[in-house]
Amino acid sequence: MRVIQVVPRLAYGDAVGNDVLALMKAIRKNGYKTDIFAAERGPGITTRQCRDLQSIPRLERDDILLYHFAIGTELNYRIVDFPCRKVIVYHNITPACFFHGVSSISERLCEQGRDQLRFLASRVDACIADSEYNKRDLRVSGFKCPICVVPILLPFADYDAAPSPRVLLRYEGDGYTNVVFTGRVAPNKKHEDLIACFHYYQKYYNAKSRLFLVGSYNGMETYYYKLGEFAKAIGVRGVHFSGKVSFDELLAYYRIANAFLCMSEHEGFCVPLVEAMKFNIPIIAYNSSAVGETLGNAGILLNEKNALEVAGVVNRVLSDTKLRKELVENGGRRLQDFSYESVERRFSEALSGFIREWGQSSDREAIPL
Amino acid sequence: MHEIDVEQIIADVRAEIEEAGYSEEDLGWEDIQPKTTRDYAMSTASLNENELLECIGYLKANQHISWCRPLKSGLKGVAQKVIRRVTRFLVIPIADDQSEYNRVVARSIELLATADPERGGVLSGYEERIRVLEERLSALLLEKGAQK
Repeated sequence: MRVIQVVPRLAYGDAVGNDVLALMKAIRKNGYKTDIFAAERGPGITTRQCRDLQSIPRLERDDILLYHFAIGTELNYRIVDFPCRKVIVYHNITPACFFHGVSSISERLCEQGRDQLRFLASRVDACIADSEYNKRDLRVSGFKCPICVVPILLPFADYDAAPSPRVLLRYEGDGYTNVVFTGRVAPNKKHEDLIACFHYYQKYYNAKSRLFLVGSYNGMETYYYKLGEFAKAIGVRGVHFSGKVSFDELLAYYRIANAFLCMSEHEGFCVPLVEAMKFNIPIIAYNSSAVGETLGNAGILLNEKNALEVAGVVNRVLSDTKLRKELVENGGRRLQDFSYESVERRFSEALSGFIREWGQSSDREAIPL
Repeated sequence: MHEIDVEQIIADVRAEIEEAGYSEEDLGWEDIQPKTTRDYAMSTASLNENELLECIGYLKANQHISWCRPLKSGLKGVAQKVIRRVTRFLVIPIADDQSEYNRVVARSIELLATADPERGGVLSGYEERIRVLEERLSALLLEKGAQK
C-alpha cells in the first residue's frame, strides 16, 4: 500500500507547503512508501522532493491519496478519477467576498473552490481537517465521510536555525518596540485593522514603536498599495512591509518581536500564532474563524475589534511584566499540543483509523530508510 | 495554565482610555484610493528580490493555458461540452498562441532577473556579495554580544 500526497502547488514558506513536506516524513516514518506530486513547484522545490502530476504511478484500490485542498483549481475535479482511496486534507478556502475589488482572480478561484468542495463532498473516502472550524466547514459543505482533526504539522527543530543577521543588525536592540504580524498580505488578514490599532498605540502609548507586516503581497498589489496610502494618510510612522521573506528572515522578525498582533478575520488554522508561541512572544488576537481554537489560553483573545481598545491592550501586555510572563508561559504550554511528536501521533492515528474502517490490511511496502 | 481575565483587562483599558481622554478618529480606510500599479512602481525605490523570484515562479508555473476546463455533469454540462467541441478549432490555436507568448515573457523576465549584473541583470552576482556581507554581519553580531 502506498500513501501519496497531491497538492496543486508546493512551495516553501506557506502553511500548506510546509505541512505537505512535514507529513511526507511522518508517512515514511509510519513505514509507507510515499511521494509528493504537484501541478506547480515553487522556487527552491526540487524534483526529488516533489514530482510532476503526470508522473503519478498507477494506483491500486488500496493505495491512499492525500489531497491537500485550499483553493479552486481544475485538479479538484480530476482527483476523483484516481481509482484509490481518497482523503482530503482540508486547509479551508478564504471566502471569495474578501477579494472583491482587490483581486478578481483570487475571488474567482475561491468561488470555484467552494463549488469544487461541494462537488467532492460525496466522492472522497475521508477527510483530515486542520481544525474543528475546518471540520465544521466540511460538514456544512456536505461531507458525510469520517473526518479527523489533525493540526498542521510544524517541524519546530527548523525554527532553531540562525536568524538573518541582516534583519537583526538593522532592528534589534535599538530601543524601539516592535509589533509584528506574519502572513501574506491579503484582505482577509485585515492589515488595515493592524495599521489602525498600531496608529493609536504609537499616538497614545509609545511613539518609539514599529509595526512589521511580514509576508508576500504577490497577487494582492491593489490591497498592498491601498495599505501604503492608508498608513500615509493617517500619519502613522514605522509601518514596514517586508514583502516575501526567506526563512531566516522570518526567524529574525520573530526574534525582534515584542508583541504579535493578529486581526485576521479568516484563518483555517493560523500557523503564525503557533510560531509566535514558539518564540515566546505575547499574542493579542481577534477571535475569528479558527484563531480562538488555535490560540486557546495562550494569548489575549478579543471578541470585539475596536482599534483604540486593541491599542490599549497591546500597551497593557507590553507594560505589565507579570501579564506578559503569564501569556508567554501559557503559550509554552499550548505549544505542546502542536509539538511535532503530538501532531505526528494524531496524524498516524487518523490514518490507521481510516484504514481500519475501510477494512484494509496496512501492508506497508518495505522502503530503505 | 495561568487564568487570564481578558474581560477585566478590557474593562481596565476602557477606563484608562476614558480617563486619559483618548478618542477614536475617522481613519477613512474606505475612502483611500490606491495609486495605480504604475505610479507605485515608479515611486518604489527598492526591489524586493524575494518577491521578484516569487512572481517569476508563478509566471513560469502558470504560463501554459489549457484550452478546456472540466465541466460539471447534467444537462448544462452536456450543452457546454457540445459548445466546446464546436468551438475548439477557434479556441485551441488562441490558447496555444497565448501559452507561447507567456513562455517567452516568462523566459525574458527570468533572463533579466538572473543575468550578469554587469550586463544589466538584477540578482545574479549579488548572491556572493550578500553571502560575504552576511558572514561579516554575523561576526559583528557575535563581537557585539561578546562586548555586552
